[in-house]
Formats: sequence, structure tokens, C-alpha cells
Amino acid sequence: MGLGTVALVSQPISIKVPIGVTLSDSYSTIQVCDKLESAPDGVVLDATRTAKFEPIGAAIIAASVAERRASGLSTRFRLPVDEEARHLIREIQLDRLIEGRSTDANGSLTIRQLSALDPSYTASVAELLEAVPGMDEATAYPVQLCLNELLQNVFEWANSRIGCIVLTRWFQKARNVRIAVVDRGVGIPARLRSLRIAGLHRAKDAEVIIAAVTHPKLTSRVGRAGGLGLKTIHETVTQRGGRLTVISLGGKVAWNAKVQTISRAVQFFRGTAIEIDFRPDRPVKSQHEYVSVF
Amino acid sequence: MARLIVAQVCHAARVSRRDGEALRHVLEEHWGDQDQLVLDFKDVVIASVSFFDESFGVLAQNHPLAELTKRIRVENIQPDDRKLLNTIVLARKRERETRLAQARG
Repeated sequence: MGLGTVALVSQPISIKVPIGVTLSDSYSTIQVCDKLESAPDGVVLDATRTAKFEPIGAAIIAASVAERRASGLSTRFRLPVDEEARHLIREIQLDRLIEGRSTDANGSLTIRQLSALDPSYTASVAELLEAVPGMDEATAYPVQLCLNELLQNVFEWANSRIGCIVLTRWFQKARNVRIAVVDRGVGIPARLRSLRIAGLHRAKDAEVIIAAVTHPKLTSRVGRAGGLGLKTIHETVTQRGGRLTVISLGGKVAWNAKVQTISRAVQFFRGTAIEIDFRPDRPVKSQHEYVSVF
Repeated sequence: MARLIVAQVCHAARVSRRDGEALRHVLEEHWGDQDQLVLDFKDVVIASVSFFDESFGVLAQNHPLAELTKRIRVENIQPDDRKLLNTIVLARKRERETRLAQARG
């Protein structure tokens, strides 16, 4: 380098992750992910100030990184300074997934990118739960049921080029299971509108989501009677005092045992992000009269 | 009496709608049999609405329940799977009845 010349070293572009990558702050995470997806190769996702990661937030970020990877773009990651947040990231291996390093493909509690419906994954989550003191096959069953249904929905009709990101977490103290499944496909409202179901073409995205989750005869199955998957998830979760949240396109709706909440959508999310959070061993009083046929 | 072992017929393919459809085709192949078909769920957990709906649910939409239970017997099914299966079959039976009632005007 001659005298008088200046070495120009370009700094990599850095995108800051919000302080809370949580369900309640999901739109901040989605906003960051929008920036991330349009950023050039080698961008740094900077989580140094992030203090809290929840499953749905981590899965939304991982889905965006998977989108980037599918477009041939790499991403670098800066771990949080906060010790708890850093520990969680390492435990679920989000850092490895973001940087394209190998992750524990058999780890039931690590964040996973699935490209096909994998029954061995849901079975391994159920087995893990069965090993928890006080849990057994019967209490693990609703978790396996919900997980199977969520994944089935992704691979049957979401048309997501990255498949989906899934993260299951077990909270020892509350004895809760939290599952997040995120795809970057067509989204529930667009899928159902495309079927020209009466009354839905003019409905808002949140209203279509509500119909998909609670309307007994609505389905994505062409020419067939109503789908039961999302309704079963809703029933399984809310009967146990849990919470179901669906974010898709311009809608975000949450249910618990008593209330349905529609959030004001401040950001469009291409795809669907679902989180369920419930205590699987909580006793359930069946609302339907049960008749044994088989 | 024919006996189909679900673990052998379906292997790991027992979650999706497509898996359920494949099982339904197998059941339909035995539809004309003289004897009742036994479907043995030994050592498997299904835990899938989609699978049961596309196999038994569709059959319950197309046939009366009495015919279904006359032709197929379910054995060794896990208790939660049995409950799920029955719930789906009954939901589809109700839809069938509504459809037939509407058709009759």
C-alpha cells in the first residue's frame, strides 16, 4: 500500500435483534426478519442486547434465515450478552442453525428445520415427555397429536419452500409444553380464500384464521367435508387451560379457555407461525358426549 | 378372518392424510369379504386426526356406521387413539346424516 492511500475495509451489515424475541413482541421480530431477508450475503444478526427468546420468536428468526439460505445467502450471528438468553440459544442450537453448522438431528428439544412430515420427530418428543416424572403415554398423547397436526398442515398445503421450523420446549416448573411451528408458505387466509368459500373472500385475515380454527365445516381439502385438524388443536389446548396463537399474513389471533383475542397486525407475515402452550397432564372434562363405536 | 397388522401395512407412514388414504384403499380392497376384517393396532400410536379422518372418517361419510362396524373390527388400539377414532367417525357420521337429510329435502 503506497503512502497516502487508505485501506477501505467494508464492515459487514449488522441487523439488531429486539430485546425480547417473544410472542407478545412478535411483530418486532417479524420486522427484523423482513430486513434480514432483504439483506446481502454475510449479514450479521446481532442479538447481543437480546434478553429473552421464546419459542415462536426463535422459530420466526430461524425461518427467515432458512429463507436466506434457500436464496444462497449466508448469515452470521452474534450471541446475546445476557447469560440466560445465551444459554437458551446454545441449548436449542439456534446459533448453529443460523450459521449453517450441523445441529443435533436427533435432538427433540433443539430447533429443527423439517423438510417432510417426520413421525419419528413427534414420537421422540412424546417419548421424552413420557420420561418426565408424573407423565406417561396418556399425558404425552395430546402433545404428539397437536404436533402431528401442525406438521401435517404445513406439508399438506402450506407450500413452503423451506418446509418448516419447529421448536418444542418443556417448562419444568409450570409443567407446560410450548411448541412453535413456522412455515413461509401461502398462509392460512390465502389458502382458504383460494378455495372460494362463501363469505371468506371479503373477510379480514384475522377473521379467516378464526373461521379456520373454530368453524366446524371449513377445510382446505378441496371438495371434501370440514377439516378437523386445527379445531382439534384448539380444543386440545384450550380444554387444558392452554393458549393457541396463530399469526398468518395480516392476522394474529390467540385463544385461551375463555377468550379469543385479535391483535392489531402491524406487520405482514408471509407464511404461518403457530404457538401452542399448555399443560398436557391437566385433567380434561370432555364437552362432548362420548360414544364408543370401535 | 383376515387380519391386518397396522404396523406392517403402514410401517412409519401413519400420520398424514396420504397415509390415511393408503390405509383406506387397503380397507376397501377387503370391503366385499365374507368375514369381518380385523385391523390390529398393536404397538403403534397414531395420534393423528388427519390419518384417522382420511381412512375411517371418509368411510363413515360414505357408508352407514353399522356397515362399517360389521366389516371392520379394531383391536389392540391405544385408548386415546380409540377415543380419537370414535370422535372422528361420529363427526363424519353426523355430516353424512345431514347430507342425506338435505338430499331428501
